Amino acid sequence: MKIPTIAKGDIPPDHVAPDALQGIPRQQTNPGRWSGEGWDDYVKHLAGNGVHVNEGKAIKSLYCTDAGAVAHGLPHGIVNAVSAKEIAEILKAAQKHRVPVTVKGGGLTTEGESIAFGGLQLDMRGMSRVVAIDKENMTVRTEAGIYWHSLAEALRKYGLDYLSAPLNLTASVGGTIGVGGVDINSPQLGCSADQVISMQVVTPKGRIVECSEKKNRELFERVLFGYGQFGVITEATLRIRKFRPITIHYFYYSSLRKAMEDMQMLVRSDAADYIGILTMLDRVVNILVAFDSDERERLFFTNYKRYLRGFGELGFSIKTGAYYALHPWKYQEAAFLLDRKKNMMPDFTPPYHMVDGKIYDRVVVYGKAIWKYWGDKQMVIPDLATSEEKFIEAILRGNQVCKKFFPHYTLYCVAIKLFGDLPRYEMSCFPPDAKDFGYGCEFEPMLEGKTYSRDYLQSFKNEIYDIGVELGTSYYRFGGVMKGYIRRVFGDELVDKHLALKRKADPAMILNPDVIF
Amino acid sequence: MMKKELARLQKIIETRYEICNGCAVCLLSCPVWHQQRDIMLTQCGRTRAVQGGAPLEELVASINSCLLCGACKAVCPYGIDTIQLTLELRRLLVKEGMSSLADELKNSDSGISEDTHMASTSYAGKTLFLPGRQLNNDQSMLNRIIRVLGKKEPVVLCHTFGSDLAMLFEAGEMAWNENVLQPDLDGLRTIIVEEGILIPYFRKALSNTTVIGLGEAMLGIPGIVRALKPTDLYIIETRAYHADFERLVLVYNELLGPTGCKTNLNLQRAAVSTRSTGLLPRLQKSVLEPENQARRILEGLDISRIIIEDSADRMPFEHVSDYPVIHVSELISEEL
Repeated sequence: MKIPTIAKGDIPPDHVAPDALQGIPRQQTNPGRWSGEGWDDYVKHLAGNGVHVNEGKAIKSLYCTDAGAVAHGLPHGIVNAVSAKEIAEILKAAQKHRVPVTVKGGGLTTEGESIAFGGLQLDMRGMSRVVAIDKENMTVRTEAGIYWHSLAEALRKYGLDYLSAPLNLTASVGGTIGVGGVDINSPQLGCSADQVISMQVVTPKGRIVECSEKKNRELFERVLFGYGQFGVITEATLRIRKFRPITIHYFYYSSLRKAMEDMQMLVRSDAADYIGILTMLDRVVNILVAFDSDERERLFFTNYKRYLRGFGELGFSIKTGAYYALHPWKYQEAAFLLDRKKNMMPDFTPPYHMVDGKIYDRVVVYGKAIWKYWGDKQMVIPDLATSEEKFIEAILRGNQVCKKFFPHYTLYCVAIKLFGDLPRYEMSCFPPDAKDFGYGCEFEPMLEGKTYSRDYLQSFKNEIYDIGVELGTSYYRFGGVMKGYIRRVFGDELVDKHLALKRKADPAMILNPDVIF
Repeated sequence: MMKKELARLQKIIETRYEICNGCAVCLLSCPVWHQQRDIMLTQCGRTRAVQGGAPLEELVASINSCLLCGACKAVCPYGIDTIQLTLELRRLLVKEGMSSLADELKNSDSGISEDTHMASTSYAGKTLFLPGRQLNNDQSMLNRIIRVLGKKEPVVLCHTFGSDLAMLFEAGEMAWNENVLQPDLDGLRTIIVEEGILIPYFRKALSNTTVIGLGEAMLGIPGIVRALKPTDLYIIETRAYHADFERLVLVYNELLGPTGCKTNLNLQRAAVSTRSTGLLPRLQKSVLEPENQARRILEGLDISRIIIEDSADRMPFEHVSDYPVIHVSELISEEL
């Protein structure tokens, strides 16, 4: 491929590598905007049924993009959800008038999945109250637009907690269980979606259905991990547990491979309640282990700690210091690490969240730090989800891609327990060859306030995702702008099967269009 | 029109609203969000709308619904001064002739003195106490507080200046950089305010003066913290706490943590407000029901009494529960 010379001037050099888009036809970042035909009749129809659509300029500007800020759209109007009955009216009318309806919870998608490119934006946060807490059966019934953090607050008043949810304060319950939901206790507890006992769903045709493993099971299995294609989740019953503060330990590695191998050993052995990898540079790799109880912590130190090849903080600091003393030309790396140690690390143990060495509300602590240090006006978080066997090779290759594109980045790796061969996993973040556990890695560049072109960011994501195609993995985020990878990874047979199911459930194809199909 | 609006606002607004990326962490602590579930009434919605070039007239309701409790400022991962942003927008509404709050304040029986200047007397080296409006109307409690504060050092009372100034700020009638203070205040050692919204203003205007909220001042009086019990619910006044969150979250953790008492802090360690004080309740414009906030704070708690820093919090808690409600100054004897 010949790259044309760019004349010197205001246009910065084009960083797209010559081979970054190999095999991928150049795609428009945004889906095409819906024409608007039938919109006025739709709004009138809804008004006649008591549903008010807000078409104000100010409110529409709130919905023009998502957390990724790579794709940009604009709805024709917004409805703040208030009830399943109202949502049923919205979807029935949408089928009739063929108006697209895009659902938004926390809006933490990065590939435009929760953006309306015309049509109606349905904001589920209007339905975000806890319905009932059952302390005897240890379940909670909640409206699905609730933030996980708000659910945690409601449960904490009774000394309770949810099981597993993303380390992000403003993810919504409905949005999360629609794609999976992964946390550092997922090696033990699985995805957030696997905690669901039952759901109330409004189907694309406007039926309100209660579903579970025992009732309307097919719908239940399609909606979980279903990317919002088979219904709008309005309420969910989830398993809960007693709240416990946790103890966290970190082990530091200068080899990503060794850290991943040790992490897999810990996962297979069920050695800790929380296990994950976070990297600062690929010379500073951190295995995090945490425990809900002193007993589990004791067992870890007795039985497993000796097999870890990582160091404690002091030992690793000495080792790393010696390395940079012998490699003085890497002073910038050393300065970056010192800055992180001084400014970032204290944010992970604020004294008002620590009591007797245990951390209270680790999601608050980690969630705020994640926004502070990794959040930016744009966010790109491509990922790979692999079987146990392919994990190390996939992530080592992904790491090389990160190095090529960005000076600083973080890898966040977790394992996720699978609960058998369930239909919900069929076209999901679990690759078909994953047994017992899936492994995932998010590749998170630190944009550090710099502006990158969409082409540059897309090239980066493409290169990561190409690894997945080559190795036969899956992804946590395969919708929206990245949906071009769906057929490449899952194959036409499986995708067409799901497309047929989708067409049957949603004849006018109005619910969350351009996310998967 | 939208581009002009954005360009105009950008020149006027000092707060760096453009760095907001809509993470919505502020929503989690916003009392208006908790009660209304309307994104447009929140800081997140307002800031994103300004970024999107929304016409100012579409933002009036949003700007005027903010309780200025400061919880969003405390929890913002990017350190955006959300209170200053909202006050700047209110100031803009006044300048554009669009503010109903300023008009309603003028038309109401506000009792604001025509002269907002301090009395011309020297306060050099002294500690000044500025009570809020509610306390100004409760002479007995006011006297008690003065006596309790006096256990540490003598305190000079200035009756209405603080509460009047707070109202003018909230209404957008005054801006942060308008200095109405007489030169005699320059040597003032300490100002204790009940209206926490005044703290950033005084700190900017009087750089050599210690400015703290009444709650923090009270907790520094010998015997107060010792008097707290694990069955107490301690209600932290939100505006002063959030105005200096990074420091005070540590102070309160250190002081109150060992007592075992419950507080109105949420999981992010921001204080939940009843918002029974301030301009909006005065003008009966609040979108929040203080009693609902009080119920929310009380939910699930097993306590025997409620301790308040802000005298205005007494009423909502007394309305929704049978627990005795006492002011923090009542934890110890007022006798010297």
